Amino acid sequence: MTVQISRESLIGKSLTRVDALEKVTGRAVYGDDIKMTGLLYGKILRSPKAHAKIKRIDVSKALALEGVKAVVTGKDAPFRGGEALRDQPFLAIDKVRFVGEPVAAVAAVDERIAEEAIKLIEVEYEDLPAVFDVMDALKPDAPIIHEELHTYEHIPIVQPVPGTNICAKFEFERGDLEKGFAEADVVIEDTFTFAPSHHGQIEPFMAIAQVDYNGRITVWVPNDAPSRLRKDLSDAMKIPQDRIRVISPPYMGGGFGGKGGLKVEMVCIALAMKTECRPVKIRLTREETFEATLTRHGAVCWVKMGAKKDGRIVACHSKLYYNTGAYAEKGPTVTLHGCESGVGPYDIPNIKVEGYCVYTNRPVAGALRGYGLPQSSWAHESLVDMLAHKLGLDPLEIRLKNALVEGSINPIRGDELFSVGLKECLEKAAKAIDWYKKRPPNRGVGIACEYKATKTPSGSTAFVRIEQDGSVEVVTSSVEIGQGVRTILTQIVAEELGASPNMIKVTVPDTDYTPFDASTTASRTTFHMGNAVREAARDAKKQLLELASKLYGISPERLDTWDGKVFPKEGGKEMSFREVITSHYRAGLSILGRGSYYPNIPGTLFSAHSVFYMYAAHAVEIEVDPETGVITILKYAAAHDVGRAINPKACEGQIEGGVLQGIGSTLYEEILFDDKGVMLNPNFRDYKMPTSMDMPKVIPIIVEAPHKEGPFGAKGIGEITLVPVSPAIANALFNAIGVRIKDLPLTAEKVYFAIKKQKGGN
Amino acid sequence: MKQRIKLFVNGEAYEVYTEPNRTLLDVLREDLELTGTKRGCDSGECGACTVLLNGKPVNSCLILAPEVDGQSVVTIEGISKPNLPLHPVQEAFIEKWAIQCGFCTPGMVISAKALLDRNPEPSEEEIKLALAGNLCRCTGYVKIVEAVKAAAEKMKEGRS
Amino acid sequence: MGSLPPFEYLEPSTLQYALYILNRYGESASILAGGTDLLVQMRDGKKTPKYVVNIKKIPQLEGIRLENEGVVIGALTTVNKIHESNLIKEKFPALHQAAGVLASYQVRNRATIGGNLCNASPAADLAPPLLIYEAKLKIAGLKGEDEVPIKRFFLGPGKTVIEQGMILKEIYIPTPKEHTYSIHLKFGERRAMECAIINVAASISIGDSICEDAKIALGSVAPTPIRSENAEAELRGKKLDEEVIKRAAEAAAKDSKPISDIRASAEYRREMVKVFVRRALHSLMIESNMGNR
Repeated sequence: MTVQISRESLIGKSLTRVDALEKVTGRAVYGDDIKMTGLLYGKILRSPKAHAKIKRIDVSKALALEGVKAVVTGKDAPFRGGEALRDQPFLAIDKVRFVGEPVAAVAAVDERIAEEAIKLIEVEYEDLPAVFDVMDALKPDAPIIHEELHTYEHIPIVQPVPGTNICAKFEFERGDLEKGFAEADVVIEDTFTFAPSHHGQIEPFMAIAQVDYNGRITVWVPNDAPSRLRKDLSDAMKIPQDRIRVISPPYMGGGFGGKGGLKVEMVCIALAMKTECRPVKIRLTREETFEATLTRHGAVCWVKMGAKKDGRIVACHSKLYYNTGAYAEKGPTVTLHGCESGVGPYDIPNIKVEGYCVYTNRPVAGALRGYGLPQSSWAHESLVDMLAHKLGLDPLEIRLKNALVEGSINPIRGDELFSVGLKECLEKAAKAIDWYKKRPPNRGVGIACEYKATKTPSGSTAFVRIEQDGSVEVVTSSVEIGQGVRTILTQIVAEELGASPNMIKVTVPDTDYTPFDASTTASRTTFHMGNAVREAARDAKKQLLELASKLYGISPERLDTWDGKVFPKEGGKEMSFREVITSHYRAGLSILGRGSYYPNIPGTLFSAHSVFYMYAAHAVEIEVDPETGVITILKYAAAHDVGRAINPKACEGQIEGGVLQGIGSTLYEEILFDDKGVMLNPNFRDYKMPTSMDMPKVIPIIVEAPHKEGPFGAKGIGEITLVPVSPAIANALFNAIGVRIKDLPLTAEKVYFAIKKQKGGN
Repeated sequence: MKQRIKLFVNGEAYEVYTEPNRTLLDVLREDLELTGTKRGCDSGECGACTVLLNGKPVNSCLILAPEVDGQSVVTIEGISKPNLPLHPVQEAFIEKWAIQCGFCTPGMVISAKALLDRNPEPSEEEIKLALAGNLCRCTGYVKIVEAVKAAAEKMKEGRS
Repeated sequence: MGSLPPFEYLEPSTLQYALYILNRYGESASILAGGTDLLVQMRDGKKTPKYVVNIKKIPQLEGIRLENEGVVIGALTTVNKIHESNLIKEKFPALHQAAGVLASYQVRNRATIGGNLCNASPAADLAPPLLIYEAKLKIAGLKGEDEVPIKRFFLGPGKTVIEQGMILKEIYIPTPKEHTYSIHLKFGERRAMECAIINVAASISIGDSICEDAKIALGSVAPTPIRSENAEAELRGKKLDEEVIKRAAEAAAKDSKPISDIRASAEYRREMVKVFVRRALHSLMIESNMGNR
């Protein structure tokens, strides 16, 4: 008998999400849904001052309040954390550096008592001069925000400049810039500003911490990198990593880069160290989530480009200034990545990029979908359009002329590029909106493109376990933030192991049980963890076939698996995974496959050229109402080279979501402050995120330039989906009505007055 | 001063003893442990806490606990039960990939169900309008709107 | 923002009892209608009442009925109920439109017309339509009832003529005379969930192709929602054309005394008054031409 096995690949299939049922029924458990025996509730007293010395803190009245179990201030937990540079105290010590910084915290038997107690804490401040603007902070007479900058520990790639507010600076130079500009027929330069924005995850921040009788710390937190959090805490507290356990709640309600590093965790731990083994939960209000977690960097970007008459760009110089707020957080590497795309995805022989990550008394800025690129891209993609205009060239054609292609040399790091789908992205995005069509007045089209690196080198480890019943568990520290990682890893393992997706479950990270993974960030998971689980599946399959070969009496090479069954390739009886395992190990055993991925590129964290690059081009058609300044997006096409789409629907979802998030920060999202550094719109009423009514027609386009090292050719997608949005829309605005705006966001009011100014009115 | 309130949630009667300065959302999540209803902003701006109160979608964070004494509430847990068929809106959300992080999903499902109950054949504009009080940061709404359209179709087929 | 502060919750089921409570507790009592504004203000610490008086159990404060050549809307009628009322849609289209764009569907299921007015936000969505329809507000106190034209109702941001111990009972809207056309336009950055940058409501009454009467009301351009009398004067007695409309729009902008805030600058608001008054009138002109054809 010959068995007919349909071997239709699972790669490239839009399987439904493995977590969809739990989510759509409201049974998915998120951090704030977790209750525990003996649970205490914490509240944080935050600084009302942007920059001040703490003269005195008196917590005695709070401690005396009935129901209060612990009160902490900075001196109770004298630790500093930070992935790149350890500058951030768990709670403020001696001085505060932004409005919203934790100054003291209370744990009590319920949240209302804790809230009452923090009002009883007396703090006396002595104001210090504050600085909010990134360029002001660079002036020689600017107030210094970190006097102890020279004492902070940091990763090798980050080089702070003590005695200044420069937390890190980066410089990339290739070719001969001066010669390049000298050869150019046209040289233009301009400065562009980028407004700070917020992630707007619908789930507010939370954490639970518990310190057991042995002093071992457990933290339950929706953090995008459990392994990294454990290391950060261990580095900060100077205790071995095995004294800390990080557990992810089953689900996480959105991250976009914001839910990493130390946000609530450190205050929770400081309290839990004083509560005699009782767990402490802190959940932030929406206002705290805005004011005191993370923002996207506001930035000032200057770019100068030189080109030949035919549009060939021969030189580009960028200076990027990122306002990183009061603490470094991921600011240094955000700046670094901004620099890595500092001249755009173009084959430019002579370049120089300088990036400055600058402290100010703003809230902490860090990772937000795009990691420094939305800012740098806003500048150079606007300038390329201005260059095209000056040369009388079409904005699409100037990009096609300079676009990176297979075999190009990366203008920043000098590595040779492969898996480059940029031109196809440009062509397909432009075609989708009928680029060359003539349009009526006030309508216009714009295009922008970009490439993005992932953090390199970084590692991922995984196990694939086949249980006696034939079920499969993927043991991984990748976090399901909403992007669909459990579905993608399920598809990869199912394909490699020959299992059916419904036999597979993917673990929730727990650093005691799930092995190291650098982070679920940087669009790295499909590539890195995808490779790791694939290798683990291959290993498990090898072991399974070895067992089966004894049962079949033929060599393992003559056997294969599919749909949870082993079968001889030449035909014959098939056996389920369960049958194979139980026939051999009658008393029970698990098969454990191991896998890991670490790119073969030497260097320390963030120091190497990227192991893969994502490419994207967005084209948009808009209509401008010149009477009001309102921009209406008629059609938005976003083409993305993902290497290989493991699950096309998942890719589309990333594109559609990233585009609308980008539209928000292009048209109206902006964090506003008063002159004392107090946030004016820390809520969804005044911080305007797009609603369903604001959703335009989005056309997601998937381009596949397979990567030789990616799992089934896959690369990544998440972050870059947002990056080209702002320049694409601003370029369309110029095309529609001839107005060039260089400061985001493009609010109706700003557009209105720009049109008026252009007309010579006012 | 604590007050005794009686409410009918997902077809079951509950009695809760609560201070009046707590909301329906607090009671659902903390007292009744129905955590499918999510807390996103506590000010009626995000819609994650949407439930049906006497059949109508409302923000449960904007309603005091004693206000619902004697009233009927349906939460996401009342839309479907384990081992029973899903609501067509839920099926469509799964099929169309209308879910990412899932935190807005319970509120979205409730708003969508309420829309289809009052308007079985909504236009795309009507769908968008009905969901405008439910913020989603992950999906860009594209697949959510598709899912509601698909659910309307399913329900139409179910009726014919 | 934090938890709701402690308070005593009271739920009178008659108007008399509610008035008694409000008089007894004075400033320490807050009326709870839809709650969509009050709860947020309490969480923000802007209001800390000792007593929260839920008046939703008082039966006669809710509903829409025909009366005296007009319509009476109970103060506790929800915004959605107003939006979904065919009666309102036919007779008072501007009110119907405004009720459809206030916050979200969920909020509209709770928010009440009385609450929207008594909260007295300069941007209150329902105020401009009621201003052009010249609604009269019936206010109940222990000493009896009083009727106040809506034009005199608002005193400033958060302030109305309603004093401690009074309750807005109902809103009477006289039916406009025949050949009256009205519209409401809301302008905000997003297409939903907005607190308006500006709001405009306008009506024109046409007789013999002449604009016999015109009413223009504006929101978010002054400490209270306002009528623009100068704009109305530009229209009255004239045959509408683009030029007349333009002059009225400019007059409306002059009547506006907006401030700059996080949503928009004063200058932009004034400019947008011009644009939206013109658009409103333009669309009414076309509607009336069609109606008279």
